[in-house]
Amino acid sequence: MFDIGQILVNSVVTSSLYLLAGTGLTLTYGLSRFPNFAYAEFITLGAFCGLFFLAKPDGVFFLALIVAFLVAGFVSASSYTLVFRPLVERKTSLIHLMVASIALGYVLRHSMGESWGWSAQAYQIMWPVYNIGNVRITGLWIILIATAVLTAVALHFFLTRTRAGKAIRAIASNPDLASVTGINRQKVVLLTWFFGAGLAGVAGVFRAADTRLFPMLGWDILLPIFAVTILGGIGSFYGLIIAALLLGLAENFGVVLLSGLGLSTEYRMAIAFLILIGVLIIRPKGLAR
Amino acid sequence: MAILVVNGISKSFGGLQVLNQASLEVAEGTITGLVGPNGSGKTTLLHTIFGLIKPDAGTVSFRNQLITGLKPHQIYEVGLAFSFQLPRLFFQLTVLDNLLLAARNHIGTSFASALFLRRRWRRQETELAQKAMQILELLGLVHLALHPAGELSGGQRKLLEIGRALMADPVMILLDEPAAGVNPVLGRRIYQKLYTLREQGLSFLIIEHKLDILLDFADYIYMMDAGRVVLSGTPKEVIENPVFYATYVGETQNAAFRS
Amino acid sequence: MDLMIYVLDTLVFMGIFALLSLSLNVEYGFTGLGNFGKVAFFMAGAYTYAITSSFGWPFYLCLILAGLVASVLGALVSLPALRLREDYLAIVTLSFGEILRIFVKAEQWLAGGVWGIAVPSAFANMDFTPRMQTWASVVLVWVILIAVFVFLYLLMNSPYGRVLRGIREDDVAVQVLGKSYVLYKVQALMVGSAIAGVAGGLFAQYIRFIDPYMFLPLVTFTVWVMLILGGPANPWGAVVGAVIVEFFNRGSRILKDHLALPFDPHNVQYALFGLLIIFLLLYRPHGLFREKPLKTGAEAEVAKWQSSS
Repeated sequence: MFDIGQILVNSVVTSSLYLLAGTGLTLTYGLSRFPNFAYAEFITLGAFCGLFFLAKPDGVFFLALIVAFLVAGFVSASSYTLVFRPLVERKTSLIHLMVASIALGYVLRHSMGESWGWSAQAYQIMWPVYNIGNVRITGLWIILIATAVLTAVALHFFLTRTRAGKAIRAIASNPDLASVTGINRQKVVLLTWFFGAGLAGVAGVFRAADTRLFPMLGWDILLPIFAVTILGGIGSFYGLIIAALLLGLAENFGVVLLSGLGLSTEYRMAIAFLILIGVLIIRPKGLAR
Repeated sequence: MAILVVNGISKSFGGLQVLNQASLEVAEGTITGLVGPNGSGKTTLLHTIFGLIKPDAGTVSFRNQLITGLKPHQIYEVGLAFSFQLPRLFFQLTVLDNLLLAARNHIGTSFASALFLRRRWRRQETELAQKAMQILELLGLVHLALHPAGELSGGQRKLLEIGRALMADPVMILLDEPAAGVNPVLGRRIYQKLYTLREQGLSFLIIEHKLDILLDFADYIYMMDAGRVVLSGTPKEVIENPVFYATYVGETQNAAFRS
Repeated sequence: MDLMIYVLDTLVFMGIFALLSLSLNVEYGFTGLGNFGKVAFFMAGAYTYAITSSFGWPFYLCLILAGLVASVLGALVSLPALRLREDYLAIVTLSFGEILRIFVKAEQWLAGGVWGIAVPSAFANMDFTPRMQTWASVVLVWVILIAVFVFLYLLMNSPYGRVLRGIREDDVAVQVLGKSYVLYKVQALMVGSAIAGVAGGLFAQYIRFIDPYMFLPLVTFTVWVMLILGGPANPWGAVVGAVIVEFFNRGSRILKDHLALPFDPHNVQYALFGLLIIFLLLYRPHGLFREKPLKTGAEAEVAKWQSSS
């Protein structure tokens, strides 16, 4: 009934989504030193942006991705400038920063709920389905995996070859260091908030295209995204890649195991939670360190 | 009779070896000074003794009891007290509360007795408050007793930090630069107070950069350089030793004798 | 007379949420612990009450059990994160709320899963009219609220409360002064969770039917709004914050039920709460009421000393 090849494909799909959605969180968490719970809403916002283009069957998918990227990135960068940077400048405590991010999340989520309603909607775009042996794979998944791989490669070059990229890695691994090397810290941070959330918006479009679209979309995958961020080591992009792969495998094989044990597949989310707790007990700094 | 024995403590951070087989002893009822240039590992050693840093190797024993690996609150329990170089006060609490929090064997600090032994802890509070006020009298902070610690000036904060260690009724106190950041007259007064406590049998291990004060009050001096103890002896022996000047040359020599 | 129902209903909710706000005040206001999964312990209490009262056990026993179960969960969940940075505690508690809801949804045998579970009234065998039962709930909730308020007031104005406040400021300094901060943090979470559990029991008892969708993270956020608005570490602030927020909460529900508005008042209300919190954190982080210094009797000694010298 369960084909190993199919589970592996599903795992890679899950991992790709978590990688796209988690990149911005781990980088901004590493740079700004607090977890942004409003991050979930950037994912949702991207998904709703996609609705403008994909509500009809002849929608252009790539246009949806680009607009989702720009809008989510813009809202994220503005939220940093208008809310989080002023708070950080006032030496606000970590707990207050987290509360502010949750509050911002409610502003965004309930605005989206007011604009688009709370009931689930779906994109009207259809995807070709390919069967390779017993393995079923959709056109959407191929684009998702390709996007994730391309992003990873591009980010790798960005982080290792450019000044800004090196600066991001430097600050994320050691926040006190960057001021010494003379890079414009504020610019780098703002850039990261923009691009990271942009990728999250893209992930939102993929998520909505694969399942359904509603204001809780982002919140529902926030826990696994936090799990991969902490498992990978906060601020570490390479750790995130490995963690996303691991959690993708763990979730998809775990679901098989759950049905084998006669448990509800709703517990899929609990796998991420168990991994999160396990990491905190065994290796709180994550895989990267 | 040694009350504190530190034996072969080593500690590295990343690739940097901060302590390298550091050993020293503090005789009971003495003021023992710990000196050395900046970055020689004095503060790290003091933190290691009090359990704030785990050593890579070596042992610490207090009254023949091994205390390496114990947590700071357990080390406090065996009779030690600690005073930070940079004051770590409770800035929103009053000066008085900062002192009372340091009190030893305070009944009301446990959950059940806070609720059910009210009369007992209230009586103890009154006694402890009197003791706290005596300490504040010594430190010249009586008028600020009910002000939040955050309102204190830098020097006053430092005094309160030392006051907390005195409040803890310890057998031995570890102090990190008690005279730093306070004026020389007050610095001397602090040392005079420590000296009277020494007469009553307390022991001290003190890091100090203001050598002119320290040398007047210390019974014995250890000198550290690059993570190891390089010199020890009575104040007189130490200042007469050429190693002392060699280590301090340029760096602290002038500053130390100027203040 | 219809209006009276709304007033009583609002009073019950104000009382229940004031308990939640006080419980967060123990953890966050006094001890500095950011519990972002308050709803989980509220929910644990509500379901414990629902299940135990279905056995026909007396309501006070069910309430005590609701508090106990929530309290034990509070300690268990927080333990892996307590020694670590505070953001980990936030993520773990928040996630736990989600997991607990998934658990209750998935295990239908336990409490009806998504279909929910009916809860008997505490006053079922007292021959009350529905109106009198509502009155009885108001009294029950507010009596417990006053008892908890007094209990916390005494606890926080003691050397114990002083240690908690010290941990909020600097936990390492507290450890250096001889108190194991992990122990105190666990205790604070247990006390906070127990109060949240009792509040959950009262909630289940009052509305007589609970399902997992009543325990969304929105509840946690609402409690944070109350505490930050009212003022952390001030018990009056916690209660006043709860009363204000619940006034708007119930109000928007009534608006939604009775008026045809071009917008959903619930959406607008929470978007505004979000903005309110951001503004408070930026411009008035101590809320309406400031923290008061401890009263233990020691402060009286100071006056004597200062006047004599």
